[in-house]
Amino acid sequence: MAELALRRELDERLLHLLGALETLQGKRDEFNSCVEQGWFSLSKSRFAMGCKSVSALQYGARMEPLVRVCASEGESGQVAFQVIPGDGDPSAEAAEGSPAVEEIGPQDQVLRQRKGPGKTADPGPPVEAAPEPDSQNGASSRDPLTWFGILVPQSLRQAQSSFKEGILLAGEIASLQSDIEATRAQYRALLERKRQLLAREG
Amino acid sequence: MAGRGKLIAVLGDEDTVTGFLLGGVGELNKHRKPNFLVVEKDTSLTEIEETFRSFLAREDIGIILINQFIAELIRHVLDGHTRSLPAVLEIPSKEHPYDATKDSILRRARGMFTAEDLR
Repeated sequence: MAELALRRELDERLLHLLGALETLQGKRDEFNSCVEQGWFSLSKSRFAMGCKSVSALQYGARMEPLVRVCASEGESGQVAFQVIPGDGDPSAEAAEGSPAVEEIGPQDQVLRQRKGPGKTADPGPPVEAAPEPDSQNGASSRDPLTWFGILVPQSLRQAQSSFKEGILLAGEIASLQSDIEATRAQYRALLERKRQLLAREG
Repeated sequence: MAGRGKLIAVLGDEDTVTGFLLGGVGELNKHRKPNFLVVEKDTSLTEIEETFRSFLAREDIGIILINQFIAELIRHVLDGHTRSLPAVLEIPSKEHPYDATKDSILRRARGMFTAEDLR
Protein backbone atom coordinates (compact mmCIF):
# COMPACT_ATOMS: atom_id res chain seq x y z
CA MET A 1 0.00 0.00 0.00
CA ALA A 2 2.79 2.39 0.99
CA GLU A 3 4.68 1.40 -2.13
CA LEU A 4 1.68 2.20 -4.31
CA ALA A 5 1.32 5.66 -2.77
CA LEU A 6 5.05 6.22 -3.22
CA ARG A 7 4.88 5.18 -6.87
CA ARG A 8 1.95 7.53 -7.43
CA GLU A 9 3.85 10.40 -5.82
CA LEU A 10 6.89 9.61 -7.95
CA ASP A 11 4.74 9.71 -11.08
CA GLU A 12 3.25 13.04 -10.04
CA ARG A 13 6.70 14.57 -9.45
CA LEU A 14 7.90 13.22 -12.77
CA LEU A 15 4.93 14.67 -14.64
CA HIS A 16 5.43 18.00 -12.90
CA LEU A 17 9.10 17.96 -13.87
CA LEU A 18 8.35 17.18 -17.51
CA GLY A 19 5.72 19.93 -17.60
CA ALA A 20 8.20 22.43 -16.13
CA LEU A 21 10.86 21.37 -18.65
CA GLU A 22 8.42 21.91 -21.51
CA THR A 23 7.45 25.36 -20.21
CA LEU A 24 11.14 26.19 -19.75
CA GLN A 25 11.85 25.30 -23.36
CA GLY A 26 9.06 27.59 -24.55
CA LYS A 27 10.25 30.48 -22.36
CA ARG A 28 13.84 29.91 -23.50
CA ASP A 29 12.76 30.20 -27.14
CA GLU A 30 10.89 33.44 -26.37
CA PHE A 31 13.89 34.81 -24.45
CA ASN A 32 16.33 33.91 -27.22
CA SER A 33 14.21 35.60 -29.89
CA CYS A 34 13.87 38.74 -27.70
CA VAL A 35 17.63 38.95 -27.21
CA GLU A 36 18.28 38.31 -30.92
CA GLN A 37 15.85 41.10 -31.81
CA GLY A 38 17.69 43.34 -29.32
CA TRP A 39 21.07 42.64 -30.92
CA PHE A 40 19.63 43.33 -34.36
CA SER A 41 18.27 46.69 -33.17
CA LEU A 42 21.63 47.50 -31.53
CA SER A 43 23.38 46.77 -34.84
CA LYS A 44 20.93 49.05 -36.65
CA SER A 45 21.69 51.80 -34.12
CA ARG A 46 25.40 51.32 -34.73
CA PHE A 47 24.80 51.67 -38.44
CA ALA A 48 22.89 54.92 -37.85
CA MET A 49 25.10 56.45 -35.15
CA GLY A 50 28.54 55.13 -36.00
CA CYS A 51 30.47 52.10 -34.86
CA LYS A 52 31.97 53.61 -31.70
CA SER A 53 28.76 55.34 -30.61
CA VAL A 54 27.18 52.20 -29.17
CA SER A 55 29.86 50.55 -27.10
CA ALA A 56 30.99 50.01 -23.52
CA LEU A 57 32.81 53.36 -23.66
CA GLN A 58 29.45 55.17 -23.54
CA TYR A 59 28.27 53.60 -20.27
CA GLY A 60 27.29 56.19 -17.68
CA ALA A 61 29.55 57.08 -14.76
CA ARG A 62 26.56 56.69 -12.45
CA MET A 63 24.26 53.69 -12.65
CA GLU A 64 21.16 52.87 -10.70
CA PRO A 65 19.15 49.75 -11.41
CA LEU A 66 15.76 50.37 -13.01
CA VAL A 67 14.72 46.76 -12.39
CA ARG A 68 15.22 44.44 -9.48
CA VAL A 69 14.14 40.91 -8.67
CA CYS A 70 12.18 39.79 -5.64
CA ALA A 71 13.06 36.25 -4.61
CA SER A 72 10.59 34.37 -2.41
CA GLU A 73 11.22 30.84 -1.26
CA GLY A 74 8.35 28.34 -1.47
CA GLU A 75 7.52 25.45 0.87
CA SER A 76 9.30 22.82 -1.18
CA GLY A 77 12.50 24.85 -1.47
CA GLN A 78 11.94 26.37 -4.90
CA VAL A 79 12.53 30.10 -5.30
CA ALA A 80 10.10 32.30 -7.25
CA PHE A 81 11.70 35.32 -8.92
CA GLN A 82 9.62 38.34 -9.75
CA VAL A 83 11.02 41.25 -11.72
CA ILE A 84 9.96 44.57 -10.21
CA PRO A 85 10.76 48.18 -11.15
CA GLY A 86 13.69 49.51 -9.11
CA ASP A 87 13.86 52.80 -7.18
CA GLY A 88 15.39 54.62 -10.16
CA ASP A 89 12.78 53.63 -12.74
CA PRO A 90 11.77 56.81 -14.61
CA SER A 91 8.38 55.42 -15.64
CA ALA A 92 7.55 54.46 -12.04
CA GLU A 93 8.66 57.87 -10.79
CA ALA A 94 6.62 59.63 -13.46
CA ALA A 95 3.57 57.66 -12.33
CA GLU A 96 4.29 58.56 -8.71
CA GLY A 97 4.82 62.21 -9.67
CA SER A 98 1.45 62.76 -11.33
CA PRO A 99 -0.71 62.91 -8.16
CA ALA A 100 1.74 65.44 -6.65
CA VAL A 101 1.01 67.85 -9.50
CA GLU A 102 -2.69 67.59 -8.75
CA GLU A 103 -2.08 68.37 -5.09
CA ILE A 104 -0.20 71.56 -5.91
CA GLY A 105 -3.02 72.96 -8.08
CA PRO A 106 -5.53 73.82 -5.29
CA GLN A 107 -2.77 75.39 -3.14
CA ASP A 108 -1.91 77.81 -5.95
CA GLN A 109 -5.58 78.76 -6.28
CA VAL A 110 -5.79 79.54 -2.58
CA LEU A 111 -2.73 81.76 -2.88
CA ARG A 112 -4.23 83.67 -5.83
CA GLN A 113 -7.40 84.41 -3.89
CA ARG A 114 -5.53 86.11 -1.04
CA LYS A 115 -6.41 89.78 -0.75
CA GLY A 116 -3.90 91.20 1.68
CA PRO A 117 -0.66 92.02 -0.16
CA GLY A 118 1.09 92.77 3.11
CA LYS A 119 0.86 89.17 4.31
CA THR A 120 4.01 87.15 4.05
CA ALA A 121 3.81 84.40 1.48
CA ASP A 122 3.87 80.86 2.73
CA PRO A 123 7.32 79.52 1.86
CA GLY A 124 5.94 75.97 1.68
CA PRO A 125 4.63 75.74 -1.90
CA PRO A 126 7.71 77.09 -3.74
CA VAL A 127 9.96 74.76 -1.77
CA GLU A 128 7.72 71.82 -2.59
CA ALA A 129 7.30 72.83 -6.20
CA ALA A 130 11.00 73.37 -6.81
CA PRO A 131 12.20 69.77 -6.57
CA GLU A 132 9.58 68.58 -9.05
CA PRO A 133 11.41 69.45 -12.29
CA ASP A 134 14.68 68.29 -10.75
CA SER A 135 13.27 64.89 -9.92
CA GLN A 136 11.86 64.57 -13.44
CA ASN A 137 15.21 65.56 -14.94
CA GLY A 138 16.94 63.13 -12.61
CA ALA A 139 14.60 60.33 -13.64
CA SER A 140 15.20 60.95 -17.33
CA SER A 141 18.97 61.24 -16.82
CA ARG A 142 18.93 57.83 -15.14
CA ASP A 143 17.50 56.30 -18.32
CA PRO A 144 20.41 54.40 -19.91
CA LEU A 145 19.34 55.66 -23.34
CA THR A 146 20.81 59.06 -22.44
CA TRP A 147 24.33 57.54 -22.28
CA PHE A 148 24.21 57.29 -26.05
CA GLY A 149 22.92 60.80 -26.72
CA ILE A 150 19.81 62.91 -26.37
CA LEU A 151 18.25 62.25 -29.76
CA VAL A 152 18.85 58.54 -30.13
CA PRO A 153 17.54 56.57 -33.13
CA GLN A 154 14.30 54.62 -32.84
CA SER A 155 16.23 51.35 -33.23
CA LEU A 156 18.02 51.98 -29.91
CA ARG A 157 14.63 52.42 -28.20
CA GLN A 158 13.51 49.17 -29.84
CA ALA A 159 16.66 47.45 -28.54
CA GLN A 160 15.86 48.74 -25.04
CA SER A 161 12.30 47.43 -25.12
CA SER A 162 13.49 44.02 -26.47
CA PHE A 163 15.98 43.67 -23.63
CA LYS A 164 13.41 44.85 -21.07
CA GLU A 165 11.12 42.07 -22.28
CA GLY A 166 14.07 39.69 -22.05
CA ILE A 167 14.65 40.69 -18.42
CA LEU A 168 11.04 39.85 -17.53
CA LEU A 169 11.43 36.47 -19.21
CA ALA A 170 14.74 35.91 -17.39
CA GLY A 171 12.83 36.15 -14.09
CA GLU A 172 10.34 33.53 -15.26
CA ILE A 173 13.14 31.24 -16.50
CA ALA A 174 14.99 31.56 -13.19
CA SER A 175 11.79 30.55 -11.33
CA LEU A 176 11.29 27.55 -13.62
CA GLN A 177 14.92 26.47 -13.20
CA SER A 178 14.55 26.64 -9.44
CA ASP A 179 11.32 24.63 -9.64
CA ILE A 180 13.09 21.98 -11.74
CA GLU A 181 15.95 21.75 -9.24
CA ALA A 182 13.56 21.43 -6.29
CA THR A 183 11.46 18.78 -8.09
CA ARG A 184 14.62 16.88 -8.98
CA ALA A 185 15.66 16.83 -5.32
CA GLN A 186 12.19 15.67 -4.25
CA TYR A 187 12.21 12.95 -6.91
CA ARG A 188 15.61 11.67 -5.78
CA ALA A 189 14.45 11.58 -2.16
CA LEU A 190 11.28 9.66 -3.09
CA LEU A 191 13.28 7.24 -5.21
CA GLU A 192 15.62 6.59 -2.28
CA ARG A 193 12.61 5.91 -0.04
CA LYS A 194 11.23 3.49 -2.62
CA ARG A 195 14.56 1.65 -2.78
CA GLN A 196 14.68 1.30 1.00
CA LEU A 197 11.08 0.05 1.04
CA LEU A 198 11.75 -2.52 -1.65
CA ALA A 199 14.92 -3.68 0.13
CA ARG A 200 12.97 -4.15 3.37
CA GLU A 201 10.19 -6.08 1.63
CA GLY A 202 12.42 -8.13 -0.65
CA MET B 1 18.42 45.75 0.51
CA ALA B 2 16.29 42.63 0.68
CA GLY B 3 13.15 44.73 0.87
CA ARG B 4 14.06 46.60 -2.32
CA GLY B 5 14.75 43.41 -4.26
CA LYS B 6 17.94 42.00 -5.63
CA LEU B 7 20.03 42.88 -8.65
CA ILE B 8 20.49 41.11 -11.96
CA ALA B 9 24.17 40.66 -12.83
CA VAL B 10 25.46 40.19 -16.39
CA LEU B 11 28.63 38.55 -17.60
CA GLY B 12 28.93 38.56 -21.36
CA ASP B 13 30.15 40.05 -24.59
CA GLU B 14 29.80 43.76 -25.30
CA ASP B 15 26.45 43.59 -27.10
CA THR B 16 24.83 41.37 -24.49
CA VAL B 17 25.98 43.55 -21.60
CA THR B 18 25.09 46.79 -23.43
CA GLY B 19 21.62 45.44 -24.18
CA PHE B 20 20.85 44.40 -20.63
CA LEU B 21 22.27 47.64 -19.24
CA LEU B 22 19.94 49.50 -21.62
CA GLY B 23 17.18 47.41 -20.08
CA GLY B 24 18.13 48.90 -16.72
CA VAL B 25 19.94 46.17 -14.79
CA GLY B 26 23.21 48.07 -14.28
CA GLU B 27 24.42 49.32 -10.92
CA LEU B 28 27.60 50.89 -9.66
CA ASN B 29 27.51 50.62 -5.89
CA LYS B 30 29.10 52.89 -3.29
CA HIS B 31 32.48 51.28 -3.86
CA ARG B 32 32.05 51.81 -7.64
CA LYS B 33 31.79 48.05 -8.03
CA PRO B 34 29.68 47.09 -11.07
CA ASN B 35 27.26 44.18 -11.35
CA PHE B 36 28.43 43.40 -14.89
CA LEU B 37 31.55 42.40 -16.80
CA VAL B 38 32.18 42.93 -20.49
CA VAL B 39 34.25 39.99 -21.66
CA GLU B 40 36.57 40.93 -24.49
CA LYS B 41 39.25 39.04 -26.37
CA ASP B 42 41.92 40.05 -23.88
CA THR B 43 39.88 39.31 -20.73
CA SER B 44 41.68 36.62 -18.79
CA LEU B 45 40.04 33.45 -17.56
CA THR B 46 41.08 34.31 -14.01
CA GLU B 47 39.26 37.62 -14.20
CA ILE B 48 36.11 35.95 -15.52
CA GLU B 49 36.22 33.30 -12.80
CA GLU B 50 36.92 35.79 -10.02
CA THR B 51 34.12 38.09 -11.17
CA PHE B 52 31.68 35.19 -11.37
CA ARG B 53 32.67 33.99 -7.91
CA SER B 54 32.27 37.51 -6.54
CA PHE B 55 28.77 37.69 -8.04
CA LEU B 56 27.93 34.34 -6.42
CA ALA B 57 29.13 35.66 -3.07
CA ARG B 58 27.21 38.95 -3.23
CA GLU B 59 24.04 38.99 -1.16
CA ASP B 60 22.39 41.65 -3.29
CA ILE B 61 22.45 39.65 -6.53
CA GLY B 62 19.43 37.46 -7.34
CA ILE B 63 20.08 36.37 -10.93
CA ILE B 64 23.32 36.06 -12.90
CA LEU B 65 23.04 36.12 -16.69
CA ILE B 66 26.07 34.60 -18.38
CA ASN B 67 26.78 33.93 -22.04
CA GLN B 68 26.94 30.20 -22.58
CA PHE B 69 30.34 30.32 -24.31
CA ILE B 70 31.75 32.08 -21.22
CA ALA B 71 29.99 29.58 -18.94
CA GLU B 72 31.79 26.83 -20.86
CA LEU B 73 35.13 28.37 -19.84
CA ILE B 74 34.27 28.18 -16.14
CA ARG B 75 31.96 25.15 -16.23
CA HIS B 76 33.51 23.68 -13.07
CA VAL B 77 32.42 26.77 -11.08
CA LEU B 78 28.87 26.64 -12.46
CA ASP B 79 28.57 22.92 -11.74
CA GLY B 80 29.76 23.53 -8.19
CA HIS B 81 27.02 26.10 -7.57
CA THR B 82 24.00 24.21 -6.28
CA ARG B 83 22.30 26.90 -4.17
CA SER B 84 19.05 28.33 -5.49
CA LEU B 85 20.26 31.92 -4.92
CA PRO B 86 21.61 33.52 -6.98
CA ALA B 87 20.07 31.75 -9.98
CA VAL B 88 22.45 31.33 -12.90
CA LEU B 89 21.00 31.64 -16.40
CA GLU B 90 23.04 30.61 -19.41
CA ILE B 91 22.11 32.78 -22.35
CA PRO B 92 23.13 32.81 -26.01
CA SER B 93 25.57 35.29 -27.49
CA LYS B 94 25.65 36.80 -30.96
CA GLU B 95 28.16 34.30 -32.25
CA HIS B 96 27.24 31.28 -30.16
CA PRO B 97 23.59 30.14 -30.16
CA TYR B 98 22.12 28.59 -27.03
CA ASP B 99 22.74 24.85 -26.74
CA ALA B 100 20.45 23.12 -24.23
CA THR B 101 22.72 20.09 -24.01
CA LYS B 102 25.46 22.24 -22.42
CA ASP B 103 23.20 23.93 -19.83
CA SER B 104 24.11 22.92 -16.26
CA ILE B 105 20.49 22.77 -15.05
CA LEU B 106 19.27 20.67 -17.98
CA ARG B 107 22.28 18.35 -17.78
CA ARG B 108 21.49 17.74 -14.11
CA ALA B 109 17.84 17.08 -14.94
CA ARG B 110 18.82 14.68 -17.71
CA GLY B 111 21.29 12.88 -15.47
CA MET B 112 18.63 12.00 -12.89
CA PHE B 113 17.22 9.17 -14.98
CA THR B 114 19.04 5.91 -15.15
CA ALA B 115 17.73 2.64 -16.55
CA GLU B 116 17.66 1.20 -13.04
CA ASP B 117 15.56 4.08 -11.67
CA LEU B 118 12.86 3.63 -14.27
CA ARG B 119 12.31 -0.07 -13.53
